[in-house]
Amino acid sequence: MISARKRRVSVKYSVLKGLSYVCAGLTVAALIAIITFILVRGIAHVNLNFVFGEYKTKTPTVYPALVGTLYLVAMSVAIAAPIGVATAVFLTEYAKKGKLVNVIRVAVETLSSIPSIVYGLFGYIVFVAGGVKWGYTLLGGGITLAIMVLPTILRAAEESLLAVPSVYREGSLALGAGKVRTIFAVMLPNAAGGIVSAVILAMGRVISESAVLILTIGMVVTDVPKGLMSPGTSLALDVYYFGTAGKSEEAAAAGVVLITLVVALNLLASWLGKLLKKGKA
Amino acid sequence: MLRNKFQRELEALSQELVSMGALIERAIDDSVKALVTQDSELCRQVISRDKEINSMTAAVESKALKILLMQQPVASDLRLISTALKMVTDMERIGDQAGDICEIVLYLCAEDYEPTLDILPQMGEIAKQMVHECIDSFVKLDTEKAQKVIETDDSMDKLFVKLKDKMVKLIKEKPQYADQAIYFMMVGKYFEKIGDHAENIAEWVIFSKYGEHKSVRIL
Amino acid sequence: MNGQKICISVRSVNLFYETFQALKDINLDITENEITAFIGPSGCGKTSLLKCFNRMNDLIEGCRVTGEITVEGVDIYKSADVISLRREVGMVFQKPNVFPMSIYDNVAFGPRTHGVSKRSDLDAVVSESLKSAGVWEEVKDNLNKSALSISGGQQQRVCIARALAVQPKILLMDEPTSALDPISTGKIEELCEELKKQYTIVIVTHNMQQATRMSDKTAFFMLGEMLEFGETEQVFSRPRNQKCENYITGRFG
Repeated sequence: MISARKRRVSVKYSVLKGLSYVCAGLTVAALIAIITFILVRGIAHVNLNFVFGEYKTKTPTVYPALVGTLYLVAMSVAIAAPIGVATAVFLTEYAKKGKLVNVIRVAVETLSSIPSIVYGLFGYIVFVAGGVKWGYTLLGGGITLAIMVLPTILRAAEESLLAVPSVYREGSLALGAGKVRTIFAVMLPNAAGGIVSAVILAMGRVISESAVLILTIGMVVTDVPKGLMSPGTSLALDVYYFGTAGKSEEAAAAGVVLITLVVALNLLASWLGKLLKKGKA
Repeated sequence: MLRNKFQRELEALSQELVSMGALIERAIDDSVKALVTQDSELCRQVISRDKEINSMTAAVESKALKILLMQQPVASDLRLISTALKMVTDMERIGDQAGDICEIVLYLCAEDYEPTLDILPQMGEIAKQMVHECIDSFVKLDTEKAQKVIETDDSMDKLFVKLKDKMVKLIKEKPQYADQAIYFMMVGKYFEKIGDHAENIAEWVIFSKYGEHKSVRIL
Repeated sequence: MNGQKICISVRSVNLFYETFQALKDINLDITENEITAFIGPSGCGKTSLLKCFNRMNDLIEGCRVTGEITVEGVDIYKSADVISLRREVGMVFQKPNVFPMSIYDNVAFGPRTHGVSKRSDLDAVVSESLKSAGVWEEVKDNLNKSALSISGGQQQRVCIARALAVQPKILLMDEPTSALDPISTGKIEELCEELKKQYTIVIVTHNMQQATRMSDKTAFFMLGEMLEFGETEQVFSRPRNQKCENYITGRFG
């Protein structure tokens, strides 16, 4: 015989359970809705020419954007990853608890909460119109993006390093290895899983970024950029361009390519992360 | 194989017991010889060699206790060590008894024997046999052999009764040899006690294998 | 003890963690080619003292050591060469802490750190060390396998091999078998019996039976003081210090 109180409790649990299922369902539904919408509108237009062909006014392609995106990803990672990892190593291995560490932490936290449009403004002021006055360049965009993703990589690198069991450090030092050798031979390889995941996710952010790039790289959709100092465009910017130019099919198609790339990178990140973690404790 | 050090220590303990066994067998043997041949020099040797038996007793006790301390034996190892500790007491007593026999023989050497010595040498021989067999049964953990030793004690007891009757007859018929008769009785009693001690050892050997002593479960 | 060299000498050593005093005026000599055990209740300072011998205490912030510790004739707190100290004095930890690398790389880590790079030299050191640690037969065909894939007992022996690979004179062991099953424990105890012919071993253990089985000398610590030190047989059969007697008889922990 179940008491009245117990019955009330079990009803409460069922209601809560039901609600959580509903919420999960809504989340998944939202995701599916977005993807389906874009796919339906754009998939027909996606073909090899669209992705890799030369841009012609009659048949716009996203090839320039693809090249530009790749340049941007490469630059931002090449700048942010070493700095982020090095700072993380400094914070975890060398820094003593004190003012300096706190200052760095506050700076990193602040950096990560700045809206991207403000980054764009910074980039515009420093690289495009004022400062070095390069005008619209991929390099300017790349550096700005690097600063934007630095906190993410730094935080992930720090967390991964902290997650490495300190027994490895002890074991290495007890064998007569110095601090540097211990960091490079034992700590970093162990933290690699988390760091690589974070880098790949940072790449995903770079690809998705639009506000920063509008203000720094110029959105030149027609020509393939010749080098780092040329202006260019990215996939996300192309979506904006096509969308506002009335080419809604091309916009959706660009969107499909963009989403595919982002999803692929996310899957790669989690697969690589798991793979690298498998060999570890 | 694990616990090599422990194994070596157990073997050393066994070895010590075997050596001690050889010593007490020799003591019994010599005491019979001294009795039969009225050799007082041999008697004195047996008496002084008892010191050696006593120091071996201390050595065995020390080794056994150290093994208990340092190796924490369990199961058959524990039964083995406790058997060794019990055995060594009986062995030491056997050594003492051989010495006591020789002390009496020293008195008997004063004059020729009246009765013919037939029972006593027999008892001596059985005593020596029993001691040899019981130690052997410990080394080999041979409980059948141990059982035989236990049964042999009956024949020892029977011989003792026979001796008693003979000596009573001697005292009644030739009272001038009453001293000898009493001494012979005492020697016979000591042989009989040696047999008892050997039987004790055999009973502990059975405990070592089965954990039961005189059919009572102890461990 | 005639002809027995002292290889670690401890004189008036005090150890502080910030303001807490973990070791009080310790004086002790560790003899070469012997196994010395440190026993005592939790927090008595035995591990702290052990970690002084290879200056692993330096890793702890706020840790201060006064007094003199001489290892192989060198005052280790006056000399700054921690690296070569840690080559002379190896350490095996409580839980096996093999690196997430192959078994080969684990054992070769030390030699590689100290400059050995030729493949043939490394091969020789790795196989020698694994043999000395009594685990060669079990892993010789799988040297490239991850060290994390073998059992705990094997991992600990690989850790021992790894420590031996830098050719230390002294081996420090901090409760090396507390995380292992009885058979692995037995193998390691047996191993130490062999190793002491070539090395000097200091072992911290909570398991007093292990101390009696393994060690030649035992030191009893309590609340930072060393209350008893002597031949293991004497310490455990006729301890001179009453607190030591109470501890080893289990009257209090």
